[in-house]
Amino acid sequence: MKKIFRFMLLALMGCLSVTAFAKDKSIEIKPDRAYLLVQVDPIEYQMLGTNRMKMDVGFARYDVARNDIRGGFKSSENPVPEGESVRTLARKKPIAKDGKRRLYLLEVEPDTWVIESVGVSSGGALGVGSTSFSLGSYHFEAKAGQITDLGVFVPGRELSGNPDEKVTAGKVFGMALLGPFGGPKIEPVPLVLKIRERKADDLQLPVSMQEHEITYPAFVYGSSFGNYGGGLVNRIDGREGRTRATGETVYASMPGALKNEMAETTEVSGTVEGASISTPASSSVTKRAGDLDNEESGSDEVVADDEPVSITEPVI
Amino acid sequence: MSARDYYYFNKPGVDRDTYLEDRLACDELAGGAARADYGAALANPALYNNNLTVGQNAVAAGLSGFLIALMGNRENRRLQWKIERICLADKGYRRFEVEKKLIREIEKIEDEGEQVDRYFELASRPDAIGEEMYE
Repeated sequence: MKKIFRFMLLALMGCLSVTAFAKDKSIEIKPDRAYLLVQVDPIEYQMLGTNRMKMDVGFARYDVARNDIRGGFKSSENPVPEGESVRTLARKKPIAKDGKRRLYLLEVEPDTWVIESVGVSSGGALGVGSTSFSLGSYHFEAKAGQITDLGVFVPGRELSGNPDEKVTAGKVFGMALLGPFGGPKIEPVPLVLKIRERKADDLQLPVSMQEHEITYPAFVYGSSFGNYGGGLVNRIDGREGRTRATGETVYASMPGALKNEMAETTEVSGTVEGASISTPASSSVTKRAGDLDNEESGSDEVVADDEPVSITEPVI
Repeated sequence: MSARDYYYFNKPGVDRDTYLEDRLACDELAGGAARADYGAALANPALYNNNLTVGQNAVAAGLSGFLIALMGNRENRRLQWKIERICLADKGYRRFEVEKKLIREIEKIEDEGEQVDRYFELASRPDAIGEEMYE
């Protein structure tokens, strides 16, 4: 009996140690590389209840002057150096996961990056079309030696009123009975991506990495580029974005407490609660991740441009 | 799902050059990177004459291609039409359904310049005809 108990105890300890390892998978931060920290939430869709599908997000190096991915049709004179990658995908090897949420820390070249696409290869049959944000996305700076916190990406479907886009029980049964070729189809719809700050109940950076500098980028709106994925296209914020100005910048991933703090240090007026802060495209705010919830520490360093900061209502 | 809808795009008062630029830009996205297109022409000066407007270049290059998706199979055609609709809606165009015979009649026109004229006439008219469709 004692042996069985010891075996069970050892098995339990083994499980615990594996879990601890998965939660504290630290990555060496190299001074000449940049790091993108992003949580990607699953897309939710209704099909005999609420279902969730894990999503992949693509990033690419962006040529701001030519409005295209580096080395693309309009940027053929500005490809990335040989041996370097022009794209990266948040898809494999998350540093933390919970259900279908994933937290990625992507090691990339320091450069201007754009959020290029979101999707999943198997989503088309279920009306989830892989989408390139060619009509208007965000670009941002990823600097060497820093972790750039992009926040939490929440994908969604954008319906157009086409009845073929609806997921109905009849279509689902038809697909199950007749297969993907003979059965009814659900029209794929373009996706959107909302960006929000990481909250306490989201996936967190491993404890061992929280002493690293975290940078919250200025997301610059309106980046356009070719549809190199060959799927659907959209603006990252869908139809809502059609009235937004190109070049508008927002700190979409910055924690609210830090937004408040930044607003205080830059002498701005207006309601800050729930607002986004617009600053020039080159700016960013830096802070250590472990200090975010400690507003009274007094030692937090906020680094922002000297340019005036304005407060606008949240738009994403 | 119907095999094909018959429609045109309308943006009252749009000028011809803007209309052609918009259509070509959306055609470029619809084609993806899989085929030589307007973007490739821009990247290759031998194919693109900088002394002409974008619209004139488009006519020179042959415009019929941007009105009907070129890829072979049905699913890809549907995808291309959808991209075209999203892209043009983003640029302020609304979509109106018309009788099949009107579109067929325009598609049968062999002279590409004349074909474009007909579509532009529909696109720019202040009083759109037909029933408005979803994007």
